[in-house]
Amino acid sequence: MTKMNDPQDVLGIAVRNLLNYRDSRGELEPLVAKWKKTVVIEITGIYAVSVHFNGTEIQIEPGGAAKFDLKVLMPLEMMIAIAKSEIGIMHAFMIGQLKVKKMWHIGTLLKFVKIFIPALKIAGERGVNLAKSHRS
Amino acid sequence: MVELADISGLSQPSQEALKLVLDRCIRCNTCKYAYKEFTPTCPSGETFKFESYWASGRIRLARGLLTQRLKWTADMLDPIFACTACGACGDSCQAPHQDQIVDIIESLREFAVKSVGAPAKQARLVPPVAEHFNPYGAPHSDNAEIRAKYHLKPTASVVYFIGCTSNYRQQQLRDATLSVLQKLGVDFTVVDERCCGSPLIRTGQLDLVPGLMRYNADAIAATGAKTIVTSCSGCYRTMKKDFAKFGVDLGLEVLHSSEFINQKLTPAEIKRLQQKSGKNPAVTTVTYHDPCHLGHHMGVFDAPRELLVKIPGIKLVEMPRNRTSAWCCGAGGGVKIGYPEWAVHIARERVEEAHQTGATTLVSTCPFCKTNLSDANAQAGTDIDVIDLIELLDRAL
Amino acid sequence: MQNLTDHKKTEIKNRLVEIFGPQNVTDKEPDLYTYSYDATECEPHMPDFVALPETVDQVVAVVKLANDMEVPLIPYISGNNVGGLTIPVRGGIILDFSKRMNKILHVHESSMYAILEPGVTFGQLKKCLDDHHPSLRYSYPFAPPFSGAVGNALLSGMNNMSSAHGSMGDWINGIEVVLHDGTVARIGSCFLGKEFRTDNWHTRYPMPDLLGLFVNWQGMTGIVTKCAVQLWPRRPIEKAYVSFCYGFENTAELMRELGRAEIADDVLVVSVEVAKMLLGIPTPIKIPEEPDFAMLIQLSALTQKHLEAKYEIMQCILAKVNQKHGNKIFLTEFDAGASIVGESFRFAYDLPAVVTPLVEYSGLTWYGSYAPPEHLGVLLEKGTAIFHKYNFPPFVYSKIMKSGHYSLFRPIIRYKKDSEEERARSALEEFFALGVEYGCLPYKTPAWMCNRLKEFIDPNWLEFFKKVKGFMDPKGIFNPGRWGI
Repeated sequence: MTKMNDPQDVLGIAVRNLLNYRDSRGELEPLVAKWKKTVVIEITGIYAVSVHFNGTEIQIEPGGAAKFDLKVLMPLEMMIAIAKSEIGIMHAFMIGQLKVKKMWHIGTLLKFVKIFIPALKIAGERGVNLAKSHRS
Repeated sequence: MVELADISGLSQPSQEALKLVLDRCIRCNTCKYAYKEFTPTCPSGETFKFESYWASGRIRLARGLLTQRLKWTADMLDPIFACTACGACGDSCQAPHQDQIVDIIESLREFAVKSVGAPAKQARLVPPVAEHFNPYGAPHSDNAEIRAKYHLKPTASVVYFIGCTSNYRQQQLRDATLSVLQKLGVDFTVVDERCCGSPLIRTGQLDLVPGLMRYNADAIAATGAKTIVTSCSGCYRTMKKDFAKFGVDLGLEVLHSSEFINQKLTPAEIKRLQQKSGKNPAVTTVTYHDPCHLGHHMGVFDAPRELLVKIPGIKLVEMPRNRTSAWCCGAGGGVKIGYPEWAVHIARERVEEAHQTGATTLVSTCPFCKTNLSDANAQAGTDIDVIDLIELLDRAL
Repeated sequence: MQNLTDHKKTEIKNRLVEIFGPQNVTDKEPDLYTYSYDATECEPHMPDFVALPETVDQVVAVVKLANDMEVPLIPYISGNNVGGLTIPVRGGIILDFSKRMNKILHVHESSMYAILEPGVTFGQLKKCLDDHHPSLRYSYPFAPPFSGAVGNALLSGMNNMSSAHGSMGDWINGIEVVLHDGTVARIGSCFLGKEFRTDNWHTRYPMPDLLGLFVNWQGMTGIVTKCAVQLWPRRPIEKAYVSFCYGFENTAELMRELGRAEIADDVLVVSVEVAKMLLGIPTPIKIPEEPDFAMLIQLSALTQKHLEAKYEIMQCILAKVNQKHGNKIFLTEFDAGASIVGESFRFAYDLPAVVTPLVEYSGLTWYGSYAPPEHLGVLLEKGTAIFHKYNFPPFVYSKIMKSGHYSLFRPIIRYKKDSEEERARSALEEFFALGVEYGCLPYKTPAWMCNRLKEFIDPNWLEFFKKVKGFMDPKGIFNPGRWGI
C-alpha cells in the first residue's frame, strides 16, 4: 500500500479517492514504487491540484506547482465522460478537450494514463452501480 | 461552562466515555430502529417506550448527571440498568460516537454503582465472583479434570478459554468444543481460569475486574500459547476489547470458536472426519441468531454462517432481523439477573421470529444466548431445537 | 415550570393512569428530563408528566382532563423540529405519539394520499411505500428516518420535492383534530359523513378552509390525530446532477431560473464546506480556489426523451446564467461525480437519511426561513459572512421552492452544547436580523424568535392571531409559551 496525505480540498479529496480505488486493489504500489514525479491536474475553470509522487509516498496539494513534470487540463464534464467510458482519452485530446503540458515527457504521460484513467473508470462504474442500487 | 460532577473515582475508560456525552448526540433518534430497514432493534425502548429507555435517552441522562442538572436517585437505576447493552443502537446510529454508545451506557452504570450502588439483583453478581471466581457461585474448578480427561499438556499453541457459563451451566457446549478441537487435531490446552469479568463490566461493578483479567492473562501466558479460542461470545468480546481498556495486554490472537474452526474446517477435513465417524446427518433447516457480543459489538457475522453451511446436512435460512439488525436474546447487560422475566420476554420474540422462518433448529454461538433462548422456548412451547453451533458441528462430524 | 400542587399532581396522575394505563404514564425525573430539552439553544423546561397515547379516545380524554385541570398539553413525535417546539415551556403533559399512535392507516393509490397517525415517521412511510406501493412516493427531508412526517407537514417543513411542489403544509389533504373541549373534527373532504372513512380524504378544498387553523400553529390550537398527506407518482427515471458554483448572485439566479423552468423535483444549494463535511472533515476551511457552493439538482422523468428534454433545458438555463455572469458554474452528473469525490454523498438518493454533519455534535440549530427569491444572492453572501464572523464553518442550505414562488434560506449551526451555545445563539440572532432585513419568515419558529418577530409584524395580524388562539384554546392548554402566548 502507498502512503498518502489527507487533502482538505474537494479536488484533492477527489484525486486521493481515485488513487485509493487502485491502491485498495493493490494496483497502485507497483505503478509508483520507483516513480518520482509531480503531476498537476487542472479542472478547467475550477482549479488545479499537484500530485507529488515520491515512490509510494504521495502528497496531494491544492494549487498548481510551479515546477511540474506533467500538467493535464480538462473540463469537469470531460473527466466524467472519460470515467463513464463515453470518450477515450485520445479522442478527448484530439478534439482539444484534454490538454497536456510537457507532453514530450512521454514516459510520465503514459504512467499518468496508466494510473488515473483506470481509476476514473472504476469511479464511473461505481457511479453506475450507485444509481442502479438506488433504483432497484 | 457548567461545573461537572466529580468522576475521578471512575475507571479511566469510563471517564473518557462519559465526557463524550458533553459534545455528542442531538437525539436524532436513529438509534431506535435498524437504519433504513426500520425494524425494531432496541428491547428496552420497545418495552418501556419512554425516551429514557433508548440509547439517546441514556446519553441524555449521562449528560444530566455529569453536568449535575440531574441528581442521583433510585429512579435513575431502571433506565440505566434495564438495557441488555446489546449494541444494536450502535449499529443503527450513524453519528461519530456510534461505536462508543455501549461504552457510555456501561460507564453510566459504573457511575451509578459508585454514586448510589448497584441495583440489588445485579449486586448479587459480585460475592460469588469474589469467592468462587464465577458468577454462578459454583465451586471453582481449576479444570485439571478436563486436562486429565482430554490428555492436555500444560503448554500448547492454543488455549481454549471455556468461560463460566459453558463450564458451570452449559457443559454440553464446553464438551462439544473440546470434542471438536480434538477431532480437528488442534494442539490446545485449558487453564485454571477465572471469570473474564464480563458480567461485572456490563453492570458497572469494576472493582474485581482488573484482578480477574491479570490472573487470566498470567495463566494463559504460562501456556506459551499464541491463540486464545473461546466459545462464549461474552468472553470473546471481553478478552478482545475490554482487557486492553483495563491495561491488560494479552499479547495473543483472540478468536471465537466459530472463527477458529471456520479457518480449520476445509472440505477435505470434513470428508476425513465424516469418513472416520461414519455419520451421515439428515438435512436440517436452521436459522442463526447473532449473539450481540459477537455481532453488534465485534462485527463477526460471517464466520459463524460460513461454518454453519459447511456442516453436512445444514440448510440455513435467515431471520428477517439478522446481522446488524439482529434482535437481542435478552440475557446480556445484567438483564438476566436483574430483570429475569423481561429477559425471557425479549427472548420469546426472538424464538417466535426463528419459528416463523420454518427452521427446526435455532443456532447461536454463545452459551448465554442459548440459556435464555432455551428458557423462552420452554415458556413459549415453541417446537424448535435451541442449540449452539459447536454442538451442531460435533453432532455432524 | 408551572407550579402544580402535590394534590393536583396526584389527581392528574391518577386520571392519566386511568386513561392510558400505568405503564404508559410517567412522572419520574429521569423520564421527564429526557423530554425537557432538544438539540437547540432553546431553554430547557421539565414537563410534569409524559403519556403515550394510542387511540383518539385517549386523546379526547386527556384534552378534557387538561381543560379541567388547566394543565398544558404538548404534542411530541421525535423532537427533531429544530425549534424547541416540544419543550414544555410551562410544564404540563407531553403526549408522545411516536411510541404507540404511529400507524399508517391507509394508502389510497388512486387519489394518491396516505392517512397517517401523528407518530408516523418518514422512515416508516418510506418503507411502507417502497414495500407495498412502489408506484407512489412521498417527499423526504435532510433529516433522519425517525422524524415525524405529520409534524413536518403541519409545520410546513420542506423536503426533496419541494422545489416542484412547495412546502409540506401544501401537501395536506385533511386532518382529524381534537379541539379544546374534546370535540373531534375532521377537516377537508374527509368531513363528509359521521364516521371515519378512508376513501374521502382526497382534497383540502373547496369548503371554507379550516385547515389553516392548525397548520403552522405549533400545536397551539388542537391535537391532530390523523393527517392525510399527498403522495406523488414515482417516475421510472430519476437522475441527479451536481453543480459547483463560484459566486452568490449567479448561484441564486440559476436556482430561480431552474425553479421557473419547472423541470426539477429539487434544487438545493449548500456551502462547499458542507460537501467537505460530508467527506469527513468536521471543521472544513474553504481554500480560495474552491467553489462557494455545491448545487444538487434532482430530475425525474417518464421516458428517456423526457429526461433528455429536461437536461437540454437545464443546459440552456446554465449557459444563459454563465454567459451573464462569466462561466462560473460547472455542471456534472451526480452519480459519477459522487464516485469520484466520495460516496458519502449517496445519502442524497437515500432520503430520509442521517446527514452526518448534522449529527456530529450535541447541538443543532438553524434559522430556517422562507425567503423572497430575489434576495437569495445577498442572503447567501451575507449569510456566509456571518458564519465566518462567529467562527462556525459555513453551512448554508438553500432551495428554490414551488417553482420559484419562494425560496428557502437556512443557515445551520452545529455546535457543542455545553461550550458553544452562547456563540451559536449570537450567530442565530444575527441571521434573524439578516432575515428580517430581507423579508424572510422563519418556519418552525422557536418561541424566542417569535417574540422578536412580533416587533415587525402588523399589529392587526397579532391581534387577530391572539383572538383566534383565544377562541381555539380558551384555557391556554395547547402548547402554551409559543409565540409568547
